[in-house]
Amino acid sequence: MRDWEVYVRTHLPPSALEQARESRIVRELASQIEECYRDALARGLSDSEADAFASAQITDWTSFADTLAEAGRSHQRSRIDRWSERFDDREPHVRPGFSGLGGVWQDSLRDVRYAVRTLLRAPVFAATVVMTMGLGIGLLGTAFTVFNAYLFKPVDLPNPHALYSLSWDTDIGYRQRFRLADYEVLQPEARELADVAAARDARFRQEDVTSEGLLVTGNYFELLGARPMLGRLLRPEDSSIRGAGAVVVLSHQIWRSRYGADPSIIGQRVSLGRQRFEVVGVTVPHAQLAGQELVSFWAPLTMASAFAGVDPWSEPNTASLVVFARLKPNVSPASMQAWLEVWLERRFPRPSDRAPMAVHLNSLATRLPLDRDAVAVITVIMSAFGLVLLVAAANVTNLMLARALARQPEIVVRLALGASRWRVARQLLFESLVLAVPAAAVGFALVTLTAGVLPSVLLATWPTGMPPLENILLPLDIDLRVMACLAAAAVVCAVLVTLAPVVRLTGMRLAGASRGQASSDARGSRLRSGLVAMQIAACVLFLVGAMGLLDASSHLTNPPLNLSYERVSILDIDPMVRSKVAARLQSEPAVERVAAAWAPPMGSPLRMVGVTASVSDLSRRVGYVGVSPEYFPLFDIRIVRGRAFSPAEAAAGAAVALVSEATAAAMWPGLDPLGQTLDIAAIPGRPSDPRVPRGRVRVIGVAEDVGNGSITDGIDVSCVYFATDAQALADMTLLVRTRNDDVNSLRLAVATAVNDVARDTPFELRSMQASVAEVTWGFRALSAIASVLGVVGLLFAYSGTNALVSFVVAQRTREFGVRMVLGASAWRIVRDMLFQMGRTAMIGLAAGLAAAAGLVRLLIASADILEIGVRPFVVGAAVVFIATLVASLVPLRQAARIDPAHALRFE
Amino acid sequence: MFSAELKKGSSEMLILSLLEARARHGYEIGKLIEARSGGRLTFALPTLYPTLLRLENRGWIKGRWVEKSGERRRCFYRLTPDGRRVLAQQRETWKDFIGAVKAVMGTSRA
Repeated sequence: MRDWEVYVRTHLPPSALEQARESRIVRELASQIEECYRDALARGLSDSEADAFASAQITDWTSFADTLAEAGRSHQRSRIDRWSERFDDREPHVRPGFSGLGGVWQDSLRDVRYAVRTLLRAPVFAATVVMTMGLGIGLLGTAFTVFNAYLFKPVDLPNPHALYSLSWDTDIGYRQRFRLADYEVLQPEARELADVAAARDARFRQEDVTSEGLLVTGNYFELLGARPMLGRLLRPEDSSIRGAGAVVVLSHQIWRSRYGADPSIIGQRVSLGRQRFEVVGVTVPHAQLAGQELVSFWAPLTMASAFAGVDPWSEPNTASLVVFARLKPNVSPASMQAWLEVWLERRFPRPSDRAPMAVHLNSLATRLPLDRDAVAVITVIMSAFGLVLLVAAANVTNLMLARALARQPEIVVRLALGASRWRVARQLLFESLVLAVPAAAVGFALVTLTAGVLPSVLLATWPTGMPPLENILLPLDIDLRVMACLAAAAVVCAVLVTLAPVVRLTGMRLAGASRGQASSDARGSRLRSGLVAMQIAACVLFLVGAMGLLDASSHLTNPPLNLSYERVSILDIDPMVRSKVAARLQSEPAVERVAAAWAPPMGSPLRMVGVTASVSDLSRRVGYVGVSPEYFPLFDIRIVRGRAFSPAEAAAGAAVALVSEATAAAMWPGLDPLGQTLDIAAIPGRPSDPRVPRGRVRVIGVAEDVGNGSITDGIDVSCVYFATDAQALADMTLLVRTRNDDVNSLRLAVATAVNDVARDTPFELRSMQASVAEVTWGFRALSAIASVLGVVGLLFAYSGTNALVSFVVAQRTREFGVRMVLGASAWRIVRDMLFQMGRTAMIGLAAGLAAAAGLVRLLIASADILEIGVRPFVVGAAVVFIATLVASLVPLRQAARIDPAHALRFE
Repeated sequence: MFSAELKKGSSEMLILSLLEARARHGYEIGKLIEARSGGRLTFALPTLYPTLLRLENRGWIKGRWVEKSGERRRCFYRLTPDGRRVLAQQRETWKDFIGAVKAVMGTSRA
């Protein structure tokens, strides 16, 4: 038998195939011819006949070599070509009978295939666009993920949108609660519309730790439709007899943190308040509804006597119950609200001071109610993140415009061959949409990453004294809503970035474009410069915002309220024991002074009341607060005229008042305020405060101007001080000033005093410095967010400028060459370019600074104390300007090195 | 028997379907086509081998040299996942085509 490999090698003409491949082909051909030969032998042919038969398999070796070369040619194509070929080979299958819709579908698929193939040929461009868009989409998605967890994601209960809490406002107070008797009447009467359950807060202190819980009617968990994680939840029979039912359900958080996630907890007895309770169940994680973040246990309402606070049975006239309702199917919230309004009017007919002024159904479907305030916050923050996406889109639009110029010949040919402008626009849109898919994936990856990292960042920076983070922090799930947000952002982004190139490419005149005229169109370059200016403006806005907020936070660290608050702590305690605890604390060596106030400073804004001044007859709305005589020395507030309240006036809540200097000047300009009177009037449409004396009060003193409202309000515009003391049963907090800075020794002193008065009464003690830290933390967090946006904005502004200058340099190379030949120096060309770029940067800087100034004005209007100086503006503008300059310099160096001879050949 | 165009149009699909069940070497493929078609379809080496080469270049089949005990080394071709997908598509198209041809011819006869 002959060597068939040698036979093939001698007959096969040399081809264009590479050597390794050719030898494999030779080997395989030889193997197949040999098979043929052996087959012939097996069929009984002689050796020579078999040899002739095998040799006859291929006769025309030259034409065979051509066929082989052609078959092998696809091997030499690039990977990208083979990839796109795969898309080409997938002809969509159109079912007969669907020709109309199928045609559109088929067209779309073809557009997608074409787009994929085009983009695969420009991988660097595609990757840049994907990463830029992905970053913008991811940042927006991250912000949305946080909002989603708190405001959009329904709680994990059956039909959560039917769950509401019920309350109403009266002439004298907001958010009224129900008495037990009210609830017992409401329950059967509301049956047609809703099932209702009631609950009361419960607090107790154990080993100096205050725990919060909820005492609920037995049907509470049934109404919610909640399921336990361990054991069982409370049942109606647990809460049937007063004083019976010493069972408790623990929250998942407390079960993990205090009981070490002990699986054998069920059946164990634990001390809560004044009694021992049998643990019957543990809830699933985050079983708390809106407003119940700190709740760590649920016990039957019948066990109210075991805890401090109101026992609905022994104090039937005190309204302490919050009522929850699950609306029946087909009952709308509006009809329930209307029914409740009628019910309340019937139950509390005027002139009862519990008569309803406004009725509220507060949805419990989400962790935070999606009310007007929430919508305002979302709008502001999502707008900031949306602006980043817009900047990313501007960046990509510039890339697209540059590419559009390069693709001009292709589009011209398509238009000339009869493609409609709509067809071309659709093709460009599909290219953007194809890019939006991986961009959304990048965004998704970013959201996943930040959702994982954010909780640890919060944990590391969470100020002490704030409620434990684990009670507030919800898992940042990436659910369908988040995915929809990412998809929507990607589609919007894709459409935005297509608009400008579509307008340019489909709007060009064929005759001119085919001669390359559109490439020097001034409109396009103005648009590109405008987009870069917009990126620069947004970047300035973010950086100024970030630095302004940081300045504000450091400013607030030592708020200029004219109060010596550093050694003062706020003590909240049951009103029944408050005055005794206050008296007892006075004798503690660690305590310097104790005062009482309706609301502590640095908390909420001052409440307002209408007053009319004697003699001047001026009517104004003024801020007010009720304080005990010790309030003034406690905060070192000077009495500039007259005197403070006497203990007797304070105890009686006498009709006397002190006014701040600003109030005195406003109400009695040029007159002596001492001995004047103020007539108090409620502000129409707002509940009046029952603590405020009615009628007329006499001014006995003038206090220096200080800040009694929220930290951000600064010094009070006006303030009237009414007299009160710790014995009054009204809503009030105690203020304790220590002799030294040691908060722990104060905690010990307070615990001792409280235990002396009423053992284990729960209390809440927090230093005013912690309040300050809380507010400044908020500002720092906002500043950090603005910084991230600023850095991303800077990145975009840098790359946008760089791309623009590079593009212009490349586009004008020939022109530069001509100018150089005509005698222009490289420096002159660079200077002209710098001037041009500087103009764009200046427009961007001016717009950004103007927007930032507007924003700062808004911020200052909302918080009087904020003083944002010029520093953030100067630094922000300088940083962006320098970045723009550096971004221009690299491509400009290229422009300076242009060789005129080479440039003139450049096309 | 059949025109060259008709054979050329179906050669790729025939090869892919023969490789669907298991890997085969080139000569075996040629013989199988001949045997299964009752001798009505034959693909000579100058047609068969370039087709194999083309299919391999497209990534639809993959050849591997195997030396079984007591046998010579042979290049065995197997179907790749891409090839499997293409085969399924071609089958569908072919079925539709045959259906359409039948429908047309049936109508003309009536």
